[in-house]
Amino acid sequence: MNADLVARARDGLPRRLNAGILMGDGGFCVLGWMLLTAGFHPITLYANTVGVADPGVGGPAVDVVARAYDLPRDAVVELARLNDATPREQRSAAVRARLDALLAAERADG
Amino acid sequence: MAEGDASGRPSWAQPAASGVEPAASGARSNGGELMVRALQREGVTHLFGLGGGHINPTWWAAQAAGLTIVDVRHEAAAAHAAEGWALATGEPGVCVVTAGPGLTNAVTGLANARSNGSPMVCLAGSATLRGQDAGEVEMFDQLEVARTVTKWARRIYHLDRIPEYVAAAFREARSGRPGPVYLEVPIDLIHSDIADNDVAFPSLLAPQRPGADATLIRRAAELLAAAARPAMVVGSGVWWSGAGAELRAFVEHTGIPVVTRQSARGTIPDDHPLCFGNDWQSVAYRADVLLVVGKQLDYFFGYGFFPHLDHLIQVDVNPLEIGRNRVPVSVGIVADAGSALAELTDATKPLATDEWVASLRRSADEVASAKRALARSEQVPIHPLRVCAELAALLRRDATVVADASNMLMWANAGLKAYEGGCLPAMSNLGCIGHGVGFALAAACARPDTQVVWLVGDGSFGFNAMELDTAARFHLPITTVILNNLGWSGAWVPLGVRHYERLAPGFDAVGTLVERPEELRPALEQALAAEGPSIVNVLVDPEPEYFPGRFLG
Repeated sequence: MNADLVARARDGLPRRLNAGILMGDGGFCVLGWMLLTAGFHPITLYANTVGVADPGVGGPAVDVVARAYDLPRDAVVELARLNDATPREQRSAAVRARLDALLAAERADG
Repeated sequence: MAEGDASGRPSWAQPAASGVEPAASGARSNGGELMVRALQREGVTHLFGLGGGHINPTWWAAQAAGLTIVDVRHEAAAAHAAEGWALATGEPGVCVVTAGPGLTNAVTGLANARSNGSPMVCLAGSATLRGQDAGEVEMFDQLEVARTVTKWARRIYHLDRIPEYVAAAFREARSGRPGPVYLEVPIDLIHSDIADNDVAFPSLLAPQRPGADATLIRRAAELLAAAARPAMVVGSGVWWSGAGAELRAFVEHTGIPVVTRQSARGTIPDDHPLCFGNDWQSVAYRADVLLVVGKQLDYFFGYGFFPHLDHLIQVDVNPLEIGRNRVPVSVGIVADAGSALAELTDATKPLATDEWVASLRRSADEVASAKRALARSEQVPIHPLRVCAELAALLRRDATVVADASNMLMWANAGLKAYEGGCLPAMSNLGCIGHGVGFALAAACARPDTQVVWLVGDGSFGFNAMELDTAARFHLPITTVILNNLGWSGAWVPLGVRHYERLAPGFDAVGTLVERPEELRPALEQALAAEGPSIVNVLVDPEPEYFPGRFLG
């Protein structure tokens, strides 16, 4: 796992996340935010629900995030499901807590 | 100065008494009359344009010949409408613009059609041949500009060659990957005349649908037969080929799930059991063999980057599209979409897709369920999907909905279904906004007695809002539904609350502000029942909740 990148995504996490679209009216979902933090620009994400439109490095958002952050795909899927399943008001805090947990587990593994 | 008459036009510029009647012995025609005769031979019935001194002979000849001239308020709308005509009918649309700014105003529409691969013909006036580099009014190198945004651009130098160049323009617009073409006639040429007996009209060319290589068709059929999860994505090539029947026959014969993109939306209806609307990602990322027909491997299709696939089979009329972006293609077939689909139907046995289709349907149903929850939302400000749901309940299957751009496209594709080809002409590969009213004008002309809706954001509405006047003058019942989120959402720049509905009375149109969900239905009913244009200004949530839809594998 690229802990520095995960920490950067967590530290800049917007106070409000949307459910189900990388970037659109009003902001990002967690995957969109993580992709932006990893250096993908808005045009690769815009009005896109599930994929990243980037020649050569695009594809399903969960796969691209997993590659960019060196995270297990299952962990990314879990993060995305948490994002979508949590009510709007608690979503950002819930996602932040999960990112904290990922970083703590990484530290514990040494 | 030439002597004028009561019309105020100089006598040298009057339409000839003979109009565009067929050539008679001793008869003479000016450039405009020859132009219109050539257009009529191509089946043209409507011109979209804005008058100007450099194009008057064509304008007057068109009027004399009984063509409908939809004169707009800005040439951008004329060019967009010409493309919109093609998107609504499958045939090239025509715009007529004057010299200088007439052309520059149309450039975005031409570039958009070029980007989309839509056939259209732009006829422009230009400065005199003698006036080049002499400081003549409205003079600049139009041809050089037009070349950059069209498939083919020419200037006509000789009057007797007008019919020949018009025929060539239509062939270029229609052939291969379609696109916009440009033809300019200098003002001194268009105003001069010639004996009809000295003008020859070229033979008309019947539509051609180049077939596929039989060996490649067999190989594609073998790969599909061996697939565990075959799927198909079709794009605009299917619409331009007029291949809706062939597409449906192939899909129903093989049982392959299909996704429609761009102009192909509705060529097989969204409620067909094997159609998964435009959700290419959920289907393509799960397939093991993907058949792509008439769809560019571009931004709107992940650049064709599907490393998980066992095989990608691609059919396109343009060989340059095969394997674009260095995408590995197992079988690349250069052919017309309709011809290739007919040949594939003959070559392919029914596929065992029941379980695979059922799994895709389960996923699609989950997303649909999430969308329905948002579509029933009673929230204030109103959720955009609630607007789409109320609209969908009032639209007939042959209604045309033009979704302007960006988020409008997303909401329209999420909340509305395409049931017929050309009914959801929602596309701008170029990234235009505000172009939708041009598309809507054309759709209302091409499909009288059907519902036409322009779904637009408050930002985009400002681009070409004055075309509501055009709609009013031509009694075109275009229902404008503004999803007003109080700003430019893509750039997060606020515009504030603006009462766009108050523009409507100025055009004898119906205008309504909607702030609460229960106000939507009566406002939309009233707007759709109007005999002319209408505006429904809906204040929507600037930060709406989305439907979970990402591919989780």
